[in-house]
Amino acid sequence: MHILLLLLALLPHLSCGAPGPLAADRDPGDLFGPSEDNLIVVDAILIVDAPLPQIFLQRTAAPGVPYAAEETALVGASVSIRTDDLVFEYHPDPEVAGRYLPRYGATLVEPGRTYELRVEAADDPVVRATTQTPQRLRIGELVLLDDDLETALRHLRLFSEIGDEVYAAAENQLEWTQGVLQARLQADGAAASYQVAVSNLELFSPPLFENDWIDEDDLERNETSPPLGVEDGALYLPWNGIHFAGRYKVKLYAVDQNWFDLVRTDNVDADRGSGEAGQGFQRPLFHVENGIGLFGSASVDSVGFSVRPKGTPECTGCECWGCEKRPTAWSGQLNLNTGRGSVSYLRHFSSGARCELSYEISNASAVEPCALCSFAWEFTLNELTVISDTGRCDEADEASGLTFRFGQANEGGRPLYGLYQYDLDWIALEAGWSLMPNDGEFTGMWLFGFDKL
Amino acid sequence: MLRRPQLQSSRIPLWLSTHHQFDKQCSVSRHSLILQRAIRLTWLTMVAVLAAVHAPSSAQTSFIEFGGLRVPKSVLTVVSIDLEDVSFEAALAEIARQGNFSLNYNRSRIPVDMRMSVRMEDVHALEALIYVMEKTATELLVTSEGQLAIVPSQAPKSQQDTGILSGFIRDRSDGESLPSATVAVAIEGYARMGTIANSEGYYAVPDIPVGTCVVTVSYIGYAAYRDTLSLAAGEELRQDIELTRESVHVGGVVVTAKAGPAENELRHQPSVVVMKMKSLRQMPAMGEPDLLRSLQLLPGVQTASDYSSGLYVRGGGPDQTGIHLDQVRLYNPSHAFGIFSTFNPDAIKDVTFYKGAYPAQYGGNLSAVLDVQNRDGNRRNFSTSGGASLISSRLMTEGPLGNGSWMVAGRRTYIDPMLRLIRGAVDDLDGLGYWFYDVNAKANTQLSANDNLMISAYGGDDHLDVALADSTNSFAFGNSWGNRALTGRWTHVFSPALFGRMIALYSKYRSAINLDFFGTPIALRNRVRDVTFKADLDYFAAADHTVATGVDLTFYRFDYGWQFDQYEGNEVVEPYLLSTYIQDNWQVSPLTEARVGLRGTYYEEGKRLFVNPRLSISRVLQPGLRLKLAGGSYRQYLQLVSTEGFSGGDVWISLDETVEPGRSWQAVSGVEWEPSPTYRVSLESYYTDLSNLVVIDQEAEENVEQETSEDLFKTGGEGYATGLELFAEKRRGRLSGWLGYTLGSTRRTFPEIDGGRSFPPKYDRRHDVSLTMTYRLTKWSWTANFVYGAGQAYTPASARYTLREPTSAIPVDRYLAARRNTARLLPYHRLDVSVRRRLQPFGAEAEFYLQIFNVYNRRNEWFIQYDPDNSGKKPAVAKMLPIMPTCGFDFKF
Repeated sequence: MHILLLLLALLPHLSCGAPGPLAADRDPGDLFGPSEDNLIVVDAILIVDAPLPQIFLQRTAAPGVPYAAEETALVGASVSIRTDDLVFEYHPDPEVAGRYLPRYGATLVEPGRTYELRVEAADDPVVRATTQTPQRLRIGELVLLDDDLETALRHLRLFSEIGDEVYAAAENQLEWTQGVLQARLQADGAAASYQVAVSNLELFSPPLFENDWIDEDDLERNETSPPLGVEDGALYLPWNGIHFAGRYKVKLYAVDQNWFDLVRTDNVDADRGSGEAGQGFQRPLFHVENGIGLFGSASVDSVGFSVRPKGTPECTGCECWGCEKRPTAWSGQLNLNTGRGSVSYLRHFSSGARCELSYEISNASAVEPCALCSFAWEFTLNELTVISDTGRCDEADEASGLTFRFGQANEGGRPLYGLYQYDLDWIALEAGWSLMPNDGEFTGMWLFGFDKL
Repeated sequence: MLRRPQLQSSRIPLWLSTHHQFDKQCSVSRHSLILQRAIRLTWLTMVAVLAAVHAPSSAQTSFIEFGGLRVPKSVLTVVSIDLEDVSFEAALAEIARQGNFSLNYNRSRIPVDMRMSVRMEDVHALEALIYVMEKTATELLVTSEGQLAIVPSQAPKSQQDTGILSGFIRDRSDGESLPSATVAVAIEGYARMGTIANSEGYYAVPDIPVGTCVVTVSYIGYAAYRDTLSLAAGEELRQDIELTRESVHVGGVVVTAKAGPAENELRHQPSVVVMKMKSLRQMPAMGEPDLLRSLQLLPGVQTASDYSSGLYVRGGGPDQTGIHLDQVRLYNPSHAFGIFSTFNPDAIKDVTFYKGAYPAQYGGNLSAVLDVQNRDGNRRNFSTSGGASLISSRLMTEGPLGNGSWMVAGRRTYIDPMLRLIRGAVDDLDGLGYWFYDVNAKANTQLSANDNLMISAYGGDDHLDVALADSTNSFAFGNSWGNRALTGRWTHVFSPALFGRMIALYSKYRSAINLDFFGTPIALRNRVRDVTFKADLDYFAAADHTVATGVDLTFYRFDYGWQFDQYEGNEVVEPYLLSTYIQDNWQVSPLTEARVGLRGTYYEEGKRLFVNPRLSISRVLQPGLRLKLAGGSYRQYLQLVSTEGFSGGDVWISLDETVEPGRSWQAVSGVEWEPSPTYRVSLESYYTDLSNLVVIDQEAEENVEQETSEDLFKTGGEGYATGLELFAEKRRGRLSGWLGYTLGSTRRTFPEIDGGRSFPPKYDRRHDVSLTMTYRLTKWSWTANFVYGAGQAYTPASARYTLREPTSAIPVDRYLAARRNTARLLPYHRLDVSVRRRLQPFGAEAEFYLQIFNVYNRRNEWFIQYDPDNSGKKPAVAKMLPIMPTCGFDFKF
């Protein structure tokens, strides 16, 4: 009888949370610590053999409050970089708040040298940071090894030999996961660590593997490795980060201690799987006196090659997967006078599935543009029209009624250094902003990468 | 309970009595006679002077100080004794009558019937007493109150004057040995003697004076045993004793055996907990009773979360507590990712938990030791018990085996049928399964009265499988882990005072994670295996010294393997550890016990040689009030890399020569008050100093092989843990239970963490409360557990900022972490209840139960989840388990 009563008393309770003071609920805002706002954030990276860099300065904002990076820019600071007896004064960029540029053209960064950053802002202690630039790094050889990691199958061509022809060179045509690339380095000294940045230079190339559980949108065309060590002057370039067919530019960074310490202790993309739950979030190692951020340096070299899908015969360029252009996922049109228009979504999957739909736009209104945008608009997605759905439109109707923001990026993007250029200049934007590609073929087409407000 | 002796004895020095040879029947020379009379006159004068000097001014005083003694003045009464062939008792009576004082004596202890003749004229009564006492090897005792007693003389002991009592202590109903039972031997006029039975239930009390003694044996949960025995000089009396379990329920009335004086002295050392299996089974739990979950209710023991059965003892992590099953070490005592432990409650006989300052026979852990012994098996009858709940079933059978016994117990989950249903409902889910099992087995055989052979085995595994598949692709994940343990033990009684054991142990833990990633096999495997040979001796050297000594040699093998596609690698490390110890359990005085020990170790990795002292003292301040002190130093050579809530990937790593082994110093002090057999209150403080701590370094370059411990770990850690524990227990009656409270603090410092600042680890809790109550009434029992813990530590975000990813220059909005663990989660509290109903279907015993875990459904905070590179996203709180009702039944026949 007691058990039955207990069961009956229990039934309505199972779906309820603990009442009142017994509950363990609190506002997410209570999960933050005491605010450390107004700390000065330094963001500057010296690249050996490149001009002195621009320096970004900002202040931290309190957690849990609406945050716009451009609103926290540090303006009016006195900024300089010193090395030995030389002092390079910086001036604020009139176009971009918080960005400081070197005066009188930029001297080139030298290897194996100490540079000190000094930032003086009103009412703040002087911010200092020092970096010891690594020795000059050159990739002497790029070798494709057999899976035994001992037999060299062939040597790839380098930029220093044939420039951008590396992408079309026969030696540089690779079949996905066949063999292992090894970069053999020429360096005058060891760096604190190394990182590899992989960039796919194609817009429309398909993924290199097919499956229904990994969405193409989840794959990146640009990936950066965690810190890597070099043994016996060589570094293996794993197939990690090679997701799409086409041309690849792989940059190898020999980084200084500041860069290494920040990246290895940072929480972004951190995978601290073991230990007590929730203990992986930690304060990175900044090496900035009276501030936080990164004042680091690196020496860079890069290689280029092309990757074709597994099992495809030898080919060059887009012949390997078909040269038809697969349209981008999103496109749209907007009447700036009426504030009305439409947004379309079209996507082809390598499996042959397809989703094509569109939303009506209404209530578009001009809003304050981001620092790197020429103008910006905000609108609401309304009526959904599914044009074609072979099983991949998923929860498209959930976007109806949501408000988005988009903008047009400034032309030119960020400055480029040295011999290395990107075809597509992705500018990191605040969530909701979009990019206008430089490729003339797509002028007038807005590409959306947006998030909900 | 120990009683202060009623008599503070003072004995007339024998040298004084030897001066008085007043046997007038002896023929003596004239010269000797004059000398004797001169001596006598001198002595009497001295007595008179002393009497005059020390006698109080009051004419009413009846005591005098004499030779430092306070004696009745009447002993100086002049008497004349003329007795022919009378008994000793008659002579005493006459002397006492004429002296007008009373004498006390035990007729069974002095030769009252011894015949003698006494002729003495005009002598002090004291002289007459001395004369007759010399004839009978007795002495005069003077109590603090001035009372006189005649007792046997305490001549220097020789072997011929004492005997030894020894034997095994067992449960009467099933023949199970009862380790650490208390044996007390009381002989009137002597300080209480006794000992504690060893882990096999063997005891020995040497140096028992000849004559009659009262033996009392007690053990928690059993009625005290009392017997009167007589030992002859030099006798080695073998007395195997069987104890009867306490009866608890008789017609609705709780009946308990009367507690003997020794019953509450079971654990005189600080920081030791002995757990009864009955208490364990009563506690409400997640699904079914669990040993490690129950230990987490004790003060000083904490848990990381509902998903972890790891023991955090007095500020130490789970790897700092050594866990042993039948003396073999278990490296991963968790099932179901830490929700259950590997201990089957049906198979357990005895649990001894050293929360700190553990004795010299243990080593290798910085913090604590859990020593679990499985049942030997029922030597009398075949019996079966078991149970079933919503999650698992278990069965235990046992019975006699010749003059020994056997036991087999097994458990298995049946979550997998439910998972199969889920699998069938989800397309492309080709496989989804989880299950665990464990089996305990034991066999004992008595080879002779002095020899016993035992073999014990344990095996348990957990398996988790997830598989996705379609026509072209496959993805599979599998994780399996488990333990194997084997103990072979031969015990031999070399002599009544010398007990030995030879033990061979084998333990293996393995873990394997297998992935099939679209046709590419990926695997991580690790295994630790140890083979140990041990030899121990328990030497009951004297009534006040029991010496334990031993040596053990452990051969480790650590295997680490990996596979990626066709590439494989494996590394093997095979160190050995040689340990030896010696320890003396010393009864310093009737009120003071000490345990002094030394443990020496030599670890091959790094060629580390250490000697670690251990000390424990216990003193009775007054009846029922005991003071305890203990301390020692400890070393640890193995490091555990574990993930909370996912124990299937636990990895044990041997620290090599590049890293100093972890070290701790512990000091414990406390008082324990037992006003009655029902109540007990204990207050204990502890301090632990830690150094050479290591944590896994997750920031190392991924492609570089970490070849040394220094590469693999962040080293040089230090820390401390300190606290105060209050434990109040009611052990009898319809309502029983305990209240535990801990006020504690622990800190860690690592040069490479948070700039070398001291920080509290996650499991640092300032306040920890546990209350457990059981109410029994006829066939029903209700139990409630309430636990409260101050919030665990976490690192909050304190700001937002933007920083570009260095290689891509893409700005990333981030959270800035504050200093490590400077914020606290909300306090943790939870109420569990259970109700049990006993039945007796078809003559068997059964219990149905309903348990509710987390009655008011408080979703306690587990950890805070920030999205570090998306500061626009609000932090989320991962929660712990909700309300969970379970039911089941237990049976025994």
